Amino acid sequence: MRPVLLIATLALAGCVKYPEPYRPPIQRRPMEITETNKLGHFIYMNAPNATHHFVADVLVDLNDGNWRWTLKSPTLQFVLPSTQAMRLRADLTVAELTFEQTGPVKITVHVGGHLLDTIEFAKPGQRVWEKAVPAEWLTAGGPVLVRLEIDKLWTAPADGVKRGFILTSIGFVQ
Amino acid sequence: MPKAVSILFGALFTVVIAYALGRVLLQRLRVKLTREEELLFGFVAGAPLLSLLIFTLASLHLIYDGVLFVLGLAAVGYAWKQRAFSLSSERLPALPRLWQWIFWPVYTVFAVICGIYAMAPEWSPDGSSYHLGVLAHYYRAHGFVKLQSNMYANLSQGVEMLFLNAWAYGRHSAAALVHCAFLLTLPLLMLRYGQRMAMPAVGAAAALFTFLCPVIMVDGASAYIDVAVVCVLFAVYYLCEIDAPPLLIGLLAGFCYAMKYTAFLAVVYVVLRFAWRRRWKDLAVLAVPAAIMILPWVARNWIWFGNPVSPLFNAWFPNPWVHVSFEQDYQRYMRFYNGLTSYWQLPMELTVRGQILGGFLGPLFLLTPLALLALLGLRKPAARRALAAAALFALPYAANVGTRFLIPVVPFAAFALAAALPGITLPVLALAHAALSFPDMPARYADTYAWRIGNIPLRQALRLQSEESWFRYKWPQYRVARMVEEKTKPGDVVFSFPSIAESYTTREIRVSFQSGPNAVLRDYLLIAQLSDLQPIERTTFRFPRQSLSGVRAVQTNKPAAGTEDSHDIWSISEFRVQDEGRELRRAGGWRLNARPNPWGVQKAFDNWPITRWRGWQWIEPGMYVEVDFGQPTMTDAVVLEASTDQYAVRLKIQGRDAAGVWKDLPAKAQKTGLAPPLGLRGAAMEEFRRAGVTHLLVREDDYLWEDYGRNAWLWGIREIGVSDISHLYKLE
Repeated sequence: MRPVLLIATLALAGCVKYPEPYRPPIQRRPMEITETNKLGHFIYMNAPNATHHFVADVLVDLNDGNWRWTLKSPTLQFVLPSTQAMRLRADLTVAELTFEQTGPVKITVHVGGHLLDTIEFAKPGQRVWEKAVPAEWLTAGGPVLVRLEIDKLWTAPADGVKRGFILTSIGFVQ
Repeated sequence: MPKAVSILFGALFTVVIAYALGRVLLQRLRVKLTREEELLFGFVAGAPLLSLLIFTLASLHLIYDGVLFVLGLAAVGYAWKQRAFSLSSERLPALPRLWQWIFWPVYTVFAVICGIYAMAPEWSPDGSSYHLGVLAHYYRAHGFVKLQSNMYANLSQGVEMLFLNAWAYGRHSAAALVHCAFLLTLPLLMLRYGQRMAMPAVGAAAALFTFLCPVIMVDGASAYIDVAVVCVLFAVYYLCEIDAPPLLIGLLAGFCYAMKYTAFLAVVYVVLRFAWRRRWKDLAVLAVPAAIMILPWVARNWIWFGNPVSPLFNAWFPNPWVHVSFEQDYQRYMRFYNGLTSYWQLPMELTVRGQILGGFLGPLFLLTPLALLALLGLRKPAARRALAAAALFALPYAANVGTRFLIPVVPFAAFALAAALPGITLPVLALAHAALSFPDMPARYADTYAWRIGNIPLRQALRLQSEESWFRYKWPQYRVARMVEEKTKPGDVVFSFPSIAESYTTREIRVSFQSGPNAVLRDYLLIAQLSDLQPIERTTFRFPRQSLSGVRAVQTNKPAAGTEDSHDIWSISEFRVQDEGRELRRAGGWRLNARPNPWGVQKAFDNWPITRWRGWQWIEPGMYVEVDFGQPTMTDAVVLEASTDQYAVRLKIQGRDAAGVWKDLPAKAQKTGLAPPLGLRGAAMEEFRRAGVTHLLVREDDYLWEDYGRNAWLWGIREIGVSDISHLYKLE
């Protein structure tokens, strides 16, 4: 019985046809050999080039390897290849620690000086917020400023350090 | 020729050819049958021969109306010339008078109902989509065509070959009528078997128990194949019981596989039976015709799809046409239909309700456990053998709990049940079963949408009302298929999430789940819309700078079976190799490989965010994606860009040293976010165009369906038609 099983297994194994290893395909867009510091349309706080997008009120210290504190009016700049059908997306968190002191907070979102939305945090927590941005507010190729403003800052009782909210990612998506 | 006439001609001509071929075979094999049996086995024994003949013609691309007609006439003429139609003078013992009065009137009434239903325009889900959709492709191509986008075309299609002959004259309804011929033959076989076994009342009752099951009637009167399979399966059993020539038994057992993979159990049954009696020589003899019936389908799939039993066992025979993950998900789904929360629901769903499992057998079958009494009836060995056969043929049911998958069990269980019950109860039960199954009595007890014959569409069957007007009025699927036909050009290819009534359009429909390449296209659509599926995470594995001839990413996690984690599928959007902060160019001398799914490995090296290599198989330790540099190359990092929809994946990096040995590298992983790429919708459509797809069919119950209309210009599509809730978009 065992030889039969062995032969059957070998026969089946021999019949499995895997292809020869493949060559690299044609590159569908140019490769960037070195890491770039160019401005992009979206940024995770832990991305190597994140700080290049900071204009104001985003603290440079990276926490837990993926988020940063903001102050009152974090402002960031982005470059968009197109202005059509863009949506601004942000991953925001109001920490329990700050909420205990501030209570409910509101964060207003401005794009290029236009008020896009007001995000209300009635309780602490994380939220991925997203909203469409009118094309006429945007400029293709040039920097687009995004400003988020929290209405109440947290002040550390011990040393008076101030904090706004936690930012994990922000930018434009389609 | 009026449509009704062409339908009847197509079906009858096919049945007559099969009967003629079968009678010649019975004559040659000198099978000792009675007159009643000759009439039935003539058709059943000829079906595999006709099926094989059509298979040969399809292989040679000789499927032309003229060829089919001439060969059909030749077969009938040959049988006539050989006097094969002359009937035996031997007769079976007469049926008891009571059963003559019960069986024939009930059988005739329901036979007429089923015949009318079969002749009416075909609108069964599987029949109108793939059973007939695939053979329509064959008919137009005058033979087999390699349909890489429809795994149902890879199934054995022994019955569809018979349908193909009928289709040439009468299209859909002619095919359904051929299936109906098997439906009408099955109870007669059971009746004659009972007479043969000196159990005429049991045979007659079991025949009616089986025939009048609502699911068997509607299935058998549609362009499905299940009832044809069980008819031949029962014929194999019958022939074994009467010790027929092994050649005939082998032919029909092999035909069972040619009709449906799971009916391979007929071969197992025959082998067990002959082995039990140590009839080794006969076993060798019957293996020849069985192999002749089986091997053509095995060979076709092996040559075309690298898998002799495609679309099953893809883990054993890996191929790009049907993904292992599809099979894994499908098996999981088929054990639990939507709405089935507990197996304790099965008895009522299978016998009375019928909606969740796609049909029901009738309340009579709540008595099935009584069939076990047959085991105790020492004086009824025939019933015990029937029960043993039922147990064997029930095995595939564990993989799919739909009612249809119990049909092969029904005749045997019915026979055992009838044998176990007191004879005096059988007429009452048979008549009650008939009353409860008559259209549309089940409306009073079954679920509203339980699959069954709900009316008797006589006007439509005779085409007093045209197929077009009836379907336009009552069947959205038809309207969608016709919209596709009217709004597209010959040669166009339409991608659709769910299947449609493909047999009513001549266009190729690429249904999202019906093949590996289709599933890849579906993946592009979802990547374009869901950020979790986009390459938004970069993992950099840094290790001491060294000279290596290749690097590998290896999956190491083995989640506990049955957990959600165990169903994760590993993917890589881009696999990059670095040295001192610079990415190495993907040189022409590099060679890329992966296990599983080596066919998709280039998608991880094309610098294009919409494409990704996927394992298309639940994660296992040892899966890998590798680059062979072709020569020693200095490197210090591997960078993987991937989606986050693979929470359980754990990776290590291996490098191949100068001696050609793969070794684990002490790599330190760092994760950073990647911007969600823009323009993914357009990129997805570019991949569709590269795959030859010209149109997109989206239903309003498809996932994220609104996005296609709202962002049509981002996709690069334009709506060109709407039918009911289906929107047809053209790729610009």
